[in-house]
Amino acid sequence: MKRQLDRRTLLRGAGGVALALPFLEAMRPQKASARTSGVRRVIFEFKPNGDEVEKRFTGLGAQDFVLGDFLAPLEPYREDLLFLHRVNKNFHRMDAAERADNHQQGCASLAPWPFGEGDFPVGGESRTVGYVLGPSVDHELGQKVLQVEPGISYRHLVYRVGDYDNNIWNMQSHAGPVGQKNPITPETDPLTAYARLFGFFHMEDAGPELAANLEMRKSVLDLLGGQLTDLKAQVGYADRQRLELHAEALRDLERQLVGGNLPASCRELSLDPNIDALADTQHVEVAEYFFKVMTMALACDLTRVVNFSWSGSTNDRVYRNLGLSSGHHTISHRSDDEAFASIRSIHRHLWDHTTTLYEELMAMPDGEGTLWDNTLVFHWNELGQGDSHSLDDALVVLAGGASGAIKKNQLIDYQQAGSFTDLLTSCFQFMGFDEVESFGDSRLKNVLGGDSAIWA
Amino acid sequence: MTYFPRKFRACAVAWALCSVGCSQDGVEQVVELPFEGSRLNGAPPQEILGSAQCRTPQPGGTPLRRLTNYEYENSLLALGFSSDLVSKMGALLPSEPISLGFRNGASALTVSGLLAQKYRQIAEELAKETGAGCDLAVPDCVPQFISKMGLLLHRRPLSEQETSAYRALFDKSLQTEPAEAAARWVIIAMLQSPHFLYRVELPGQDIERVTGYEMATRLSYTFWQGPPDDLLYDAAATGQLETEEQVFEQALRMMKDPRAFRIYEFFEQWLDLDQLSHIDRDPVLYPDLDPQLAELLRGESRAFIQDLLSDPSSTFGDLLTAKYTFANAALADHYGLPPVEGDTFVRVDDASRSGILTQGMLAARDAADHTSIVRRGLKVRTDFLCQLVPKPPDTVDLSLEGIGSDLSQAERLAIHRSNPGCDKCHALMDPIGLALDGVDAVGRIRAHDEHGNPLMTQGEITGTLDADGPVSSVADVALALAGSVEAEQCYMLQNFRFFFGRDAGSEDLCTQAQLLKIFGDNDRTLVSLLVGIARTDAFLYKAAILSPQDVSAEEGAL
Repeated sequence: MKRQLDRRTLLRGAGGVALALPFLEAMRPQKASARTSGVRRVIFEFKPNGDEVEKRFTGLGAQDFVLGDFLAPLEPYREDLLFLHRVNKNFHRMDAAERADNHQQGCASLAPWPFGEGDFPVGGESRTVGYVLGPSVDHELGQKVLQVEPGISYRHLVYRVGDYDNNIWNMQSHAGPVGQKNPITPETDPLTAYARLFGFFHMEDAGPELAANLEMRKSVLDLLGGQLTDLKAQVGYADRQRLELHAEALRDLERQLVGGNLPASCRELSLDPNIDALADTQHVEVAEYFFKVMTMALACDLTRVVNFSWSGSTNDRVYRNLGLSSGHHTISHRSDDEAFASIRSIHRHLWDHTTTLYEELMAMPDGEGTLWDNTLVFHWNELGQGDSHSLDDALVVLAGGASGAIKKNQLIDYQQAGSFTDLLTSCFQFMGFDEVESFGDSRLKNVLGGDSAIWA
Repeated sequence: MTYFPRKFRACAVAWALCSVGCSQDGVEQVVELPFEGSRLNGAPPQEILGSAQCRTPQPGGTPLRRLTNYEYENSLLALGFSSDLVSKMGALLPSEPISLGFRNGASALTVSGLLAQKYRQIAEELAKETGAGCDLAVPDCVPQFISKMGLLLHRRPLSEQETSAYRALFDKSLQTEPAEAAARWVIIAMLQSPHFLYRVELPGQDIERVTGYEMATRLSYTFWQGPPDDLLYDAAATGQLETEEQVFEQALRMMKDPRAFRIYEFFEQWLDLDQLSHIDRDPVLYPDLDPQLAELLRGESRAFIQDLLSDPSSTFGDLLTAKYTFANAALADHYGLPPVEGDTFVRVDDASRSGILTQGMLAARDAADHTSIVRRGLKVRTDFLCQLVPKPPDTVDLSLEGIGSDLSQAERLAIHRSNPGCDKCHALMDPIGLALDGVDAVGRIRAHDEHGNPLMTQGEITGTLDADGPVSSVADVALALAGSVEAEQCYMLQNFRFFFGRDAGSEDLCTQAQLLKIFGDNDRTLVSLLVGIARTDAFLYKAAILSPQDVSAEEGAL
């Protein structure tokens, strides 16, 4: 008979080198825990460079809409999807001096705040901007979760496929607070992401005697916290703010030490370690590994919020697998038929593999059902369409069972009205944080309390 | 040195900065720039150094600097961990956010939850490889160990309070574990200490000199990208880092140490050589490339820069115009140079070379299937002239595919520039990039483009203070830059940004002028500018902590 182990046991880690976690097998409980049943989660999923607005649908009826060619991979799942067409991000309501160019601005859709000072050139203008001055929705949503569920280990997980460099175009997650620039560097290697989540170090001779002593780890964190407190009292304002972020990071580590029991579905993954996480040629494998890792993280209730990106914005990946020789971003600036056909083929390819995430969620037991049942997947893009760099006709797709809270198999055409930030506010509502009446710069919202049109 | 009247300086810079929509009558709109701006704009340093502003020390901002990944790895190496192990650990760290074109901008370097977890993992892994260094059964060993490791990891002697805290940690572990494990917990904590992870300097109420230990750390992370050695610690402990001369003597000593070659990190990031690791070239157009090409190109530049830095007489001009490069057997084969044997990079004289400009940096931003005339021009404009060229407007066609597929890139760009919406920015980039087109997208000298078209390399540098003129080869561009005050001042500014981890503000005019004067007085040798850093206000002094009133004002402003 297998023994159910608690999270502390898990954190003692395993000494092996393989990515399979044999010790997790012993942790699977004899019967499913009800702990996670009904627990809601949100995954933000990003694709870059806009699509082709007019070709998303061939009919715009609320129920009898027909998916265009690049959305066709979603057809088998449409019973669980809500399509939000031509949503306005409303960034034009901000002062021109506070805005960046549309790629930079659209990239900050999850962190809809004015931009700070910096040295990144703005398209078509003789000025520069820095990172945005406020947190992203995934960070704030995760923060809310931690306040009511202190047993959750991770505020959020931030994953991106590709890119070694981190810059204003490919960091879409930001820590707070409002008024400060604190971009969050995403994880780009699903294998190390997996290894860190499950508390062991996939290297030779992991030395369980060190990892075992959680009490000592806690004492170390106390000591470091004391040093940070002393230091903060002796430095200027800006340095103090950065040290406060460090202190928050230490509190994260402490919370990860005392996480609760593992739910039933938490189990090992088998991932092939022979992957080059930064190779464009392997973007599908990397993404699908991330889907496995994030699904397991949700199943193990290590987090309730994930921010995943197929790339940064303005991504110029060359999709040779689709027979293309120019980069995605370069093609997206063109308006000819051939270019749009290429854009659609890229999006079809990305949507096709995005459904792997759906399958992972559907295959993962959660309470009496599966993870899919209670998860909301929020699909977004920095632009509406590439050649016009439009920010007023975004496509948002809400996917997942979402606990039955969201309308299904429907299309809502906002006709360049609506508010993207109202949809972000709705994510707080979905997660039960009704007190959050708006998110982001106040000028971007249409209403308080989120967008009610999406509720079932 | 060429001197530009103030009005002309202001005009030229404004022209460069307003390249989009810059009007014909821009001259009339230009306002004279006072010296209070943050850029020298071609002004001679003596004029600034003689101003009232520079009569008192002006260190500018001195933010707390988190160690970069490279500095962190070098700090671990200095503790005696093997390079293999350190590389393995370093690979776990997320790359730093880019700021000012570098990965070491102080304001962007924080410790996130992800990073804190990585630091902990690494500390726990490394602690297994180390010990107290003395017999823990001997009573004096524990305090000695804590004191010694504390000095190395805090880079200064521990305070009594800190010593007690580490001792308490040791004692707590000892209740349940052997002494060796207790010592490891102390090391684990120290490796995660903010005093290790940041270059901590405590500001006073007024501008003041940095302390001896703070100076030891400034020196070592500037010239070695890593922690101080015993001599620096000794100098700090005995008050030998008090005067400018003492500090300068240390800088001179350190530049002669092999660790000074780590300054290559500046060149890697400045010129995007680090980007070469990710180059992706069309296998049809570029068949049979050495799979290690990126590393070969980086190796070439590393050897070239190290050669320059090892000779104190190497100049800024040599960096740009040297008629030689460094190659090993594989790279010589790739370039078609006379054969070289072995893997070691050796100097190869070749009249077709123009220093760093004919090396991999030129190809770092090229496309998979062609050179990028535009990006190469942009690179010169931003990296070597420190000018701002806007990103393309949102709605323009970035590709040239619709413009005569039978035409060369140069011809298509010429048509592209005839579009009034495109000409102003492209006029800043394309004519420079054209002159650089004699090097292909994998760094080889060539006479024809990717499709066999003859090259059109007749270009022009415009919009600069003093580098304007026709150019038709990499050598022409190199000579124009090498003789330009604007390029010289830009090179100084890039050094400033990297080594101080921030942009130069208006309060840094004096430091910039100090650097330029030293550079000019020493025939613009690369080493003189580097060691000159140690003689500047920004290096010798630290900013005052803001008063509580200032803090309130800042908080209110947010």
